[in-house]
Amino acid sequence: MNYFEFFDLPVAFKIDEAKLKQGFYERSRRYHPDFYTLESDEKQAEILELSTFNNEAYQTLTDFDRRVAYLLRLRGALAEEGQNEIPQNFLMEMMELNEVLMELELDFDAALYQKAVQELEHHEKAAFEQVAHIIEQYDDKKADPTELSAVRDFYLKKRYLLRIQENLAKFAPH
Amino acid sequence: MAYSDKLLDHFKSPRNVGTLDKSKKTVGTGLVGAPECGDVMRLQIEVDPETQTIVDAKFKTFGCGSAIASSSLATEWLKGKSVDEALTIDNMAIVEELALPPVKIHCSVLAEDAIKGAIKDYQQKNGILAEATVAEEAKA
Repeated sequence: MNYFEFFDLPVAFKIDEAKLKQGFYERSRRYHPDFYTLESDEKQAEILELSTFNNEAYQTLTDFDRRVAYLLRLRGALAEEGQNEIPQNFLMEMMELNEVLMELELDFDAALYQKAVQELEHHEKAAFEQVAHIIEQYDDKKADPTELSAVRDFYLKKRYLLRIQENLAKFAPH
Repeated sequence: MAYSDKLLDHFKSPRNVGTLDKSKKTVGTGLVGAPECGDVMRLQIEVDPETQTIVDAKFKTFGCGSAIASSSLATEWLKGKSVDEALTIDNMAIVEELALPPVKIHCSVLAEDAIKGAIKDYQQKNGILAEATVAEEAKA
């Protein structure tokens, strides 16, 4: 059973968050180990497993990025670490952004910093806009490989952008 | 975690950092990345077309110490090698030389991919089809 099925949710990038939360609380009560202390060891072990599964499933689905990665893996669209290719032109842009970061580190310049922040925002927006309609309307019955690989590119690009954002934050004016 | 002296040396004083003119026909550029950790690595070679020998190699890597050390070592190894010899450089040789811990093996894979990418770029620019590529196309 996958995490979506566990919560009776359709397999999708966009989910009913209220229903997820409700489902999680409901199962947290249902599988609470305290209610089973008089049961057999076997039953107790089973409940513990369900309660762990409930937690893992909720933690994964409640976080947008983790949910996206989970669904992509579920449909075989995300390879193991180190085996995911990313478009060359995007890599080139990331190289340039990293170079700007290095310049900032050597010699801080407010105008250059502002430019980098804007560029980062632009990249984030552009990456999301490319897949916004897929994320909104994804139909798991079709599980269109082109759509999945577009979302995969978005997910991977976001990893880069997050790292740059973290580095940029170090220079943020206090 | 204890890193080897060689690794620390390459990390603290990386060799051959820089850029070669990628518009030159004799220069091949390999650009690779590991999205999971946000690493980007660019490795460039300059080949003497007469002898098919790599006369210069430069790199620029944004990433962890192991990724920097792996690419620095790679450029050192590339210089003076023939293109064919360079193609045989295996990531495990980098792992051994730098004593990379298991969690950092992917950094050496990145360096190998960058070498292969740079050679492929050089060959494509010069209309040379690598044997491996020919074999793959024959299969397809």
